Amino acid sequence: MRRLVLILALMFPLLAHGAAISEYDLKAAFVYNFASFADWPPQAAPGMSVCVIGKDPFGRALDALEGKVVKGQGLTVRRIKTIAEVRACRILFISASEEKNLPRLLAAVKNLPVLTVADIDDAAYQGVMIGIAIEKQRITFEINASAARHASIALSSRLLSLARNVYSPP
Amino acid sequence: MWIFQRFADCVRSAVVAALLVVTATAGAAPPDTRQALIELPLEQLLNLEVYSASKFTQKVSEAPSSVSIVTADDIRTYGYRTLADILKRFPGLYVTYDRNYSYLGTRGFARPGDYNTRILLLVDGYRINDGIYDGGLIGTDFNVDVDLIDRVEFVPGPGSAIYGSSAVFGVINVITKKGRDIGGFEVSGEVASFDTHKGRLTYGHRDDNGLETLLSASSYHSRGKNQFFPEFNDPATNNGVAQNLDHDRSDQFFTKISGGAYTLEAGFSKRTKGIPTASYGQVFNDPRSETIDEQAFLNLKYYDKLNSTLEMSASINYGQYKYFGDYAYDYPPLTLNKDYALGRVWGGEVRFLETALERHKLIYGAEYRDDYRQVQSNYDADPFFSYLNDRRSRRSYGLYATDEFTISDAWILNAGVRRDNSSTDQGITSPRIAVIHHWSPQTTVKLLYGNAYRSPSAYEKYYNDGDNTMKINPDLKPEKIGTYEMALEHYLRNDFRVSGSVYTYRIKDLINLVRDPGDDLLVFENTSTADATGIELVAQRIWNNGTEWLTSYTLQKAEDGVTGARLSDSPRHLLKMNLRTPLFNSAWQAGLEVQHISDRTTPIDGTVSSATVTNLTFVSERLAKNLVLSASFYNLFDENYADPPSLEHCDSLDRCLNGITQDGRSFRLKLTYRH
Repeated sequence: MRRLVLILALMFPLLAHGAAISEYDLKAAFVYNFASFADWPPQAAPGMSVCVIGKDPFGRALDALEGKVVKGQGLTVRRIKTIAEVRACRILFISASEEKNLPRLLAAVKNLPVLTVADIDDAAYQGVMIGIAIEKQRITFEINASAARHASIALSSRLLSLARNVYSPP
Repeated sequence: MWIFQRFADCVRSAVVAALLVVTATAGAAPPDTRQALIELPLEQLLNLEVYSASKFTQKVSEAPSSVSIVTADDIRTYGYRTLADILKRFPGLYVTYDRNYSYLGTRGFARPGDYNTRILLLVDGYRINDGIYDGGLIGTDFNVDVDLIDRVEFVPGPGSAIYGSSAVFGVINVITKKGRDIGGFEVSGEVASFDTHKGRLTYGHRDDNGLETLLSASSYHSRGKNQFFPEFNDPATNNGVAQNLDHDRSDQFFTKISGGAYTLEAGFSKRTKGIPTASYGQVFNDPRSETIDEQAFLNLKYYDKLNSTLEMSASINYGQYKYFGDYAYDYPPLTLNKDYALGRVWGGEVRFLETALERHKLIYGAEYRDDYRQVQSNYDADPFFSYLNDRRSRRSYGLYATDEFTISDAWILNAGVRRDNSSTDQGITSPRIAVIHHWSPQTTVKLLYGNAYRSPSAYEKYYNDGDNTMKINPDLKPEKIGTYEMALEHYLRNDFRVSGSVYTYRIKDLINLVRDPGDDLLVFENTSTADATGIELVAQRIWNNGTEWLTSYTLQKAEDGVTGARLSDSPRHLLKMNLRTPLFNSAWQAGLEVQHISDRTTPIDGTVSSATVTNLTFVSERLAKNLVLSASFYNLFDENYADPPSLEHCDSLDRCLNGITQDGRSFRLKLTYRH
């Protein structure tokens, strides 16, 4: 009996199978949703450009969003090298590689009408508008409402209600 | 030249291991999957499970060897009760329990009666190994409740180039949860076989100013079973039954407060364990036989970025370890002998991480440790007679630097060295060099050579019982190990990882308990060497429904370097399997664990047979709001097995144990409520 359990257990990966959803395919879909649930002030950059700063983790996943129409605007994806390029962006996706640069990046985009999204644990607490995390193999996100408010970006109540946590110190 | 020969053998084995790894890389998701994801409402996206590549590799970057991790989620799903339970899951680790202490075996090496002195045990960076025995306690005597552990990282291989003494076979770093992980109050209660109860109360919080608090207290008590020892089966000694002597009680307190750049941690634990085995020549079945281990520590840490390329961390810490042992001897008359040890230590450390030079990541630092009180005493209670009253102290400091040089996208060179000096031993230099090669996006190869060492403990140098059976050896030197290692890591698909490693090591000046033929007294001496070679293979796969499978196999050969004899308590094979899967639409999680250990020899030329132990746990979070229920079955198939005893497992009538019987099937029911 014991031996049978051992053998069956060892063979398990050969018996079961399933196609995994890749983390960044799903995260790209989240980015798309964030774009649809945000309202930018009139002085925001024209177009709907999503900019990625840092080491791009998406591969092809984000490019699938190219050309999608969000709020009447065609979505474009850009990889930016320096934070100075952020003025042309509506959404700034800060990749995990920039964890240590986070305070510097946030200082550079302060009060600009750019929706900051970071792929960094605890980012919303540190001042990023939307922080994405993985919890028990599901994607979750946290919102820093006061950071969005300072940038005059309105996030829909539906988005706020789905967030795991909303930080809004006065 | 032996080591080159061995290394060549290793390389051959590694090539075979590599051939077993058949590349079958899956492609990326097809574009239509991506389009479909975008169409889904956000609510549904939140419910999709993903496979995360980072899960395999999170936060273990500094390590040039194959690092393994156990997370809080694993601890819950597999029903782990102690740190020893957690460590048993790591490839190549095994635990020997003599019903008093738990001893960790690594890479085929487990000295009988050695209090885990060759593995460095850290809690959030603080060194747990005490100042008297240099031991890291891992059973119910470990000083942090396993429910407070966020993750445990095991870095196998020589670690002295960064950590100094004790990191001979590896470093275990226990990382505790943060206040925000608890987020309120948590109450947990459990009942288990052998009349066992445990309770825990934890509070955790982070306020808007960033002040984070965690406070926790736990209490555990087990009456234990009456243990039967066939070796002592005689009407004169209660037919071999130790009555009410497997009792185990432990209390733990832990707190962590952090704000800004500072974190303060404090812990206190006390464990009392009955000794049913009549070890060290005691009278069998005397109700007074027990040991108490008490640990307290305070650790203040500072971490800050000084500028964009320089990070600094520093800590000052204080630790105290106390041990009380009550042993019943029949001189005659029947007398209670008391063993006592006290170790007080304070220390400090400063470490920098410098990234100013392009392609270089430089870590350097200094560590100071003052074992300002090392007390050992031994006396008879009534009539009072003192055999030992020894006071020592020891100061040591170390300087180290390690550079991680990214030569190109494919090649990384990691080289480091540490120099340790102390008031008692000669200075020691521990180098380590590793080459990491990213062969392809799926495959990484690592080559490592390192030296590590362990300073003799105060116990090994100065313990004696008035020269009745044991004498001191102040000239004892540190023991040293040289290790070669090659590791290969490969992703068959992005959710299916395999890895293999081959190692060979030699320990020189091994500290060993021997009998001096001149005066027939026991003494620790640097007399022997030990050689070992081993292979570890690991496969891990994750499915998108949350199912995870992990298997490891270890083949190892460890022998005495002089006689060539197989080391005692050194199994040839270890086979482990962990499988977790959601059941009933994720209402329950099931965790199945199967561990096989091959036969082991005992120090008195006996053998304990191989064993396969199966554990099964079911966990549900969905029965009621804020409530987590778990039900565990340990040793599900009631395997009857024993661990090898050390030489000290003989009673007052000179009858020695051939094996120490382990627990049969047992159950545990646990409820945790969060508010």
